[in-house]
Amino acid sequence: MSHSARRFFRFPWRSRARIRADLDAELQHHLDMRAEELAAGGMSPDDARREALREFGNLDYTRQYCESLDAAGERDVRRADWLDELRRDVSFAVRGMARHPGFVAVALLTLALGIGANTAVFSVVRGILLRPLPYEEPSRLAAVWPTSTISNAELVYLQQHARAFESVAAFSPGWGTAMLGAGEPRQVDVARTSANFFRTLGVRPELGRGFTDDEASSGAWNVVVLSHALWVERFGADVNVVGKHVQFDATPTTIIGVMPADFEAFQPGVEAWQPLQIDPASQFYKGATAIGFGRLRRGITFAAATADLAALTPEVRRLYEYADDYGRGFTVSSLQDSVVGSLRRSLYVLLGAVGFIVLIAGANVGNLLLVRGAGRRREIVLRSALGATRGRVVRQLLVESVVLAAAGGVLGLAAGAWGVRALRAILPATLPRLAGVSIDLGVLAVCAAITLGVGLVFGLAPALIASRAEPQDLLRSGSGGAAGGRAGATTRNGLIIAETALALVLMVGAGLMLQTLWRLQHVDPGFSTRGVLTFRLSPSSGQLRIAGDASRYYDELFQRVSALPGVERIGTSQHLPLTGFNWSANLEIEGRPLPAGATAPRVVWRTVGGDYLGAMGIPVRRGRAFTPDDRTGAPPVIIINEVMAQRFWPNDDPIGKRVRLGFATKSDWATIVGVVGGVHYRGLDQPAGDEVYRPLAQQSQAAARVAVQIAGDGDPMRAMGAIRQAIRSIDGSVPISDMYPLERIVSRSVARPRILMVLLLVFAGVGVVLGAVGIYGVVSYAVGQRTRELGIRAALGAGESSLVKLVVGEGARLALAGAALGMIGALVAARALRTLVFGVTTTDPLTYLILAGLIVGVALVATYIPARRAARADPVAALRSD
Amino acid sequence: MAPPIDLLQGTVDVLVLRTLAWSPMHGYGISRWIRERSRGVLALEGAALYQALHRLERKKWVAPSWGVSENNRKAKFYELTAEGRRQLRSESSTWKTYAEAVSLVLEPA
Repeated sequence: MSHSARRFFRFPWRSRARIRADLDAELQHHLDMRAEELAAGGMSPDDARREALREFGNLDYTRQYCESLDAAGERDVRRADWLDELRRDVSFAVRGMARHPGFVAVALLTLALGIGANTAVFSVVRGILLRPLPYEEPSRLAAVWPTSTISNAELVYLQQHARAFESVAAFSPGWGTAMLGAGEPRQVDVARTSANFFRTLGVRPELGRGFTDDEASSGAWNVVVLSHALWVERFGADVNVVGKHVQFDATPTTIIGVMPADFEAFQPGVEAWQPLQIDPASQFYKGATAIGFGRLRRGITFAAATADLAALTPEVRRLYEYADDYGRGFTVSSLQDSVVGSLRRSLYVLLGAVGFIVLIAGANVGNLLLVRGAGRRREIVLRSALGATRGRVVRQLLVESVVLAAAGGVLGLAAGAWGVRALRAILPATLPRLAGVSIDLGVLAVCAAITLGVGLVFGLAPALIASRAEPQDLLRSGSGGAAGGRAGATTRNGLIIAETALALVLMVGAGLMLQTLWRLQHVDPGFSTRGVLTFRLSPSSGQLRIAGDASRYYDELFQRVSALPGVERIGTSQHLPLTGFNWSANLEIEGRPLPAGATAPRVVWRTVGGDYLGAMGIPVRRGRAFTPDDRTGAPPVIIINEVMAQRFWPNDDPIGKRVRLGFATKSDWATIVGVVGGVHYRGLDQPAGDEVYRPLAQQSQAAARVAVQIAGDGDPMRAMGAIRQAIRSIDGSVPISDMYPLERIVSRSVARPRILMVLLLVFAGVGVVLGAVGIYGVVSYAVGQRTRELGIRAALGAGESSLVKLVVGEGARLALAGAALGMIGALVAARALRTLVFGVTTTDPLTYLILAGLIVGVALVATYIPARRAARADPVAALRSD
Repeated sequence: MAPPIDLLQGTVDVLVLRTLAWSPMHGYGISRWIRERSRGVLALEGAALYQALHRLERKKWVAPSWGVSENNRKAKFYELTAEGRRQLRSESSTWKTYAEAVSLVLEPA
């Protein structure tokens, strides 16, 4: 039947054997005809046959030649037929869908959400993690000792001795250099780099040049390469900017180049680059302040480079008198890893979460297709009766699900484009490489693959089930028979369980991050943000030099600002806690010489001016805070925190003891005059560490963060104008920047966990809604199928509530199974969050139980609504419904 | 025997197309027609003819169909397609130009 039907509709496909037989018949016909003609001319039949064969020429070759041509032609025919059929299937699918706008709308919305979320998150993952660094041959770029910073001394030594590297370079991040001579005074973030920095990366300025080797040495430092953004903002994109002069921290500086707009390395948002000041005579020569990296020689592996550098460390340690543990853990690794490695886990967690959403969306669509397949059994039976094979029907149904997925994919791409914009807006701007995140070809390819995958994977089961329809099914029950019988019901229930489980996993992830953030926000940082305003100052311009040192300037500042109404306390520190800057030094305690070979303890130090401790609300536990008497010439004093007191003087009073801090040169002995509270300066998730405070008057420090405490609970932003004015009145050339409440620094320090939490919450919400929609849809369908049964039960006297119980009970069973599965899944999946959570374990039983209860509750509501509707239906109408 | 060289192949193709311009024919009919028409000068080898026919079929310049030959036997007939007719026109003119040029060169001065 099926064969003849096909023959009727189109020329049949020829098999290879068939082609050969046709060809033989054709050639034989020729030989026979010729032999007959020759025989008619008087030849004996045998001679005639021989002569015909001889005349013909190379018969074997001809047969071979023609057969391969015919086979190729046949392949073309098949391909054309296949495409033709596909075209028909697609247009059939489109027409079919147009008749069911409700079904299509729900499916498309679901797919658009799932695919859109994936596209957006994958764009970010690809843009930040996967895309190679935009430098020349990025695979040869290596981070030198990524867990530490390197000194100028090490840099120079490695440049001369590290044979694994073509070049070794360094980058030292920088903030808040005062720039004069280009409009209003402004603070500029200037990074310092080795002279070979741009060359090592293999990037060229868009204007002018990069640094030359001699610009690294003393006296030649006053050159600058501008970022594209600064060039546009302050120099109006003037192409003649090269050779012009500006003042950077009161030093006349020549502009030598401009970098292209998309150039970013190590410090997002940096505005200019100047050469590292490499001066062997400087006290900072041996201080580690720069990020080291290099370009490996061709063919050298990271491991080989690590071995090369490790062999050099004893000599470096000896030459520069570094501590005995110097060089331990010295490694060389991929530069890309060191730039974005810390983000990898969070981004993969997000990618996993959106992957779950796609699965939930796919399960929903699969369910919808199952239901639709059930409604089309009449059509499918008819098609098989007309000769369509089961494979043909499955193919038709798969084409439909792929067409549906493709439409969802297009919508998803649009949603994803919107999502990328949203993500770029809400992700912290300090994330490396964020500016390069976009929907590119790679993202498009992945989006297309997901779309196709969803269409095929979630279309396959419904297609197989629907295609199983037999003509007798149609006779046995009306059009309202269950979708694919038992196989359909099993698949439907399986999909519900899977959806519930996946949604629960998402919820657990979000729940754990929610608790993490809540706990982080309830960590007492050791200082108070209430009513505190902070800003940066760089008082290093010309007038200050005339006026004297920085502390004189600050004395004047403290006086004028304190006089403003509402200002309670004011103080400065070179860097505030939680900003990532924690300068440290070796600590030496008087009377406790280090045993030979021991490593000196390191402590973080801050130079503070005015009433810094008071303005920050850091409590004095013992002794006293600094006073105006602690100035130059007075005996050096120092304040330590309680963490340090406990560590070094567990049993006696540190007040009155003397310590000194060792840099390249050692400071004078300073007497401890006070013990203050500990501060979580490294991060809210990190314990408070050792810390010492030194008075500004005894340790001059020009650029600083100023903290101003405003009286009462007043909004710190209100005092901004008055404070600016007071500072300008001292010296208008000192730039003020980054003025905002201290609270912002604290909240920024938890930006990453917060963003992760927000996104996981959004994804969990989407997952739960999709899951609920899926359950609702399936239960509605299932009770629709059971209208007759429920009607009979009602007619037999079952009350409304017992009918509802019956249906909801079945839903509850599935939801409980899903929740149990989801808890197991979450136990496994949440392990990915292990290093990202704080104050809660990833197996927290309470979180699991509460969220499991929640998802079961949602599932029950989604079941209850259709159950109630069915139970209320008129039994008579229900019985007639067939 | 070596396969026909390019020049010969091109010649056979255009001769076959020309022959089919009269009416659909089977392979043997074509060879007989060419032999008679060239007064026996051109005796087309069967091998070259069928290779040409299948080549032209693959190019869709001729379309095959199975029919019954004059002695009541099943035979494969070939018919010139619209595309084949176009090809014949352009190739015949090329061939005429070529043949004239060759005879000009060969003629005694």
